[in-house]
Amino acid sequence: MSAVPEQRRSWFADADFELALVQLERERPQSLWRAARERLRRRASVRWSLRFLIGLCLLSFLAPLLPLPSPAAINLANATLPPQLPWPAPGALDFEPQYWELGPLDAQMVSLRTSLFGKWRTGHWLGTDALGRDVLARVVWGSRTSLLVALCAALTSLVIGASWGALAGLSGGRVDNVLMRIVDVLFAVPTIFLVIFLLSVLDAPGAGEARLSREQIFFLVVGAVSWLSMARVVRGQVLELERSAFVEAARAAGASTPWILTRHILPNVLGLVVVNLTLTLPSVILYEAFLSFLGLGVEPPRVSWGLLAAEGAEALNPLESYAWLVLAPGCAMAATLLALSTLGDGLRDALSVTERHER
Amino acid sequence: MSRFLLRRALWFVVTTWAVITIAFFVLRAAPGGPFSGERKLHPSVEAALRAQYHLDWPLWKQYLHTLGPLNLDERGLFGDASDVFGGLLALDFGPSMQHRDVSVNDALAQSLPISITLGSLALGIALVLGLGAALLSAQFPGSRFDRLVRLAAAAGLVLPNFVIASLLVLVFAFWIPIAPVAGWGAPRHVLLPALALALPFAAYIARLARAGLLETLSKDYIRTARAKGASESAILWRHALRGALTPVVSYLGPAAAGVLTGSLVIERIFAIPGAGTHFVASALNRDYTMAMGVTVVYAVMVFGFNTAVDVAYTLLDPRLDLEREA
Repeated sequence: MSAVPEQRRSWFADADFELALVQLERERPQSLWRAARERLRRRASVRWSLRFLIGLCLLSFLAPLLPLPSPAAINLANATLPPQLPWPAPGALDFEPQYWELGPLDAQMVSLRTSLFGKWRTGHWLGTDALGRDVLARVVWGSRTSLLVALCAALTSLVIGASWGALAGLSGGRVDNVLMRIVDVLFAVPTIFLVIFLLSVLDAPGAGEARLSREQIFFLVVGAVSWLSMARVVRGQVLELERSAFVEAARAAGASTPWILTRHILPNVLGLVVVNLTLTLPSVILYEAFLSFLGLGVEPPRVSWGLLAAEGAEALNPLESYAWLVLAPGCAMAATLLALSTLGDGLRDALSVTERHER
Repeated sequence: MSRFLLRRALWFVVTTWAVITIAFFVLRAAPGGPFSGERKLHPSVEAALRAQYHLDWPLWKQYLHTLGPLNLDERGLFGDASDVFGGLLALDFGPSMQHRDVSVNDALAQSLPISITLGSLALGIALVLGLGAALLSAQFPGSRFDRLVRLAAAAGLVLPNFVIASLLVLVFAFWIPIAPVAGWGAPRHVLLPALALALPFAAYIARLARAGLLETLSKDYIRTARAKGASESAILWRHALRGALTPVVSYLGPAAAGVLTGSLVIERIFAIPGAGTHFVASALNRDYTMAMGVTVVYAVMVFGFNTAVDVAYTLLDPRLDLEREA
């Protein structure tokens, strides 16, 4: 308010002037992103979802470093222990570093873990499965697969899907027609065919030393089939923006095409892309579970949430209830997907321009 | 409208052809064949089998034979000409390569009705549950019921369907025994699988419809209707619901195609002899003819429902003009 020049003050009664300034300050145009961030921060559910997801990513990345029992060590003497009371259960000094083939970074983390904690491991806080493997350790290690699958799908939908849709929407005409017909055709081919085809071609014994591991193939496959809807959504949005009044106005005012693209189209599409991502990630994680149920997912002894949930669902029976086997991965999955969709909803509300002045 | 449908029909032919071609070459490019199973066959037996199913032909000839319309084997055009028309254009998918003595047409005729019955029942349940919850919840936004619906809708979308199905079995087949665990044949067998299939869809529909309703309720024409003195229920049912249905319909199109061609997981858990099983089994066993059959059925369903969705848009929103959009 001090920035107001002295001589102008006399035009108004002081009180009116102050009021007008306050009004102006409140209506000051904000950048889309700043306004969105502001609105996101105000929602507790979004804050908690974000915290949860960041924590989960850290936890799954640092899994080899944690003093958890080994997720693959079979110990039939401890089979199907329920989650123990008093909780948390006391630890023990019998850690055996049994894993599947680990990458170099993970192997280093495991050796760091043994030098840090020695043979000490946490107790079976969430019980054990039919082969005596610790459920908590399996859920934490399983999160790595499920999150990586989601990450791969996110990257392909971003890189292939978004640019495919943008290219179609921007070029219009024949190019648009051809690109979208390809998407239509791919939509009409049963996804499971493509998955099985890719799995069997890439996993063929003839591929030699350069062969990808089953896990990498799996990530590739899920990525390859998850970009279609992103392409459709982005194309629709780009088309709508191209036709919209404000782009027309910018063009009439003499704005160049790159300017319109970066200044008007990109910001408006980005929001939708981010929202669509947070909504596709849950469906990809569920698709991983579906493939694991069919036995097309990661290979044991590796774990994923889908595999754990499938094993747990199989162990559900009325005579002897091993409910924790399905509850542990189920709850982990449910919490993650819930956090993702809460974040997505929050982002959608925060980025929707029409609601900017509400609330 | 008729011009739109004509264009669609033309596209349908092109798309289906493309899908068939992709499925044909994709499956044959995959390593292995229908007779390279666990049990190793004697080379002469395998050669005889391959000859019987024309797998010894060059690929282009197999492709033409699959596609039709001219029958290329010894009873066809170049043979004794007793059966000239064959292949997909004659709607003849040929014999299954895995299930001996069963034609793909017969297998589909047996399993598809089961999947369609189950699927349409599940869709009905999902629509009633989802729309009902959304209507009630949008009428009193922020109420306790609204919060409950939002929570239930969120919960239905975060669990894999095999977990939901297993929980349903545990509760409704063992703890409160009102339905059989698995099987197919009697009407009571339908209950649990249809419910398990419907719940995730109901959750999604409730979510979409609630958001759509709330958005529509803030539109100007709703305010006009209120100003004119229309009752709340008339506003909700006659004016708002129509606008809110658009996202639901566009979601339902592809979803219906998936549900009606059979849900693999549900069919496996409840031991239902539906068509969903054929999708995975045929691709895994390289049952080329069966795979082609399910591909065509699926593509036709997807295309049909997408067209139905576009037609439904015009019914829901008279401002849309399909002739122009197409």
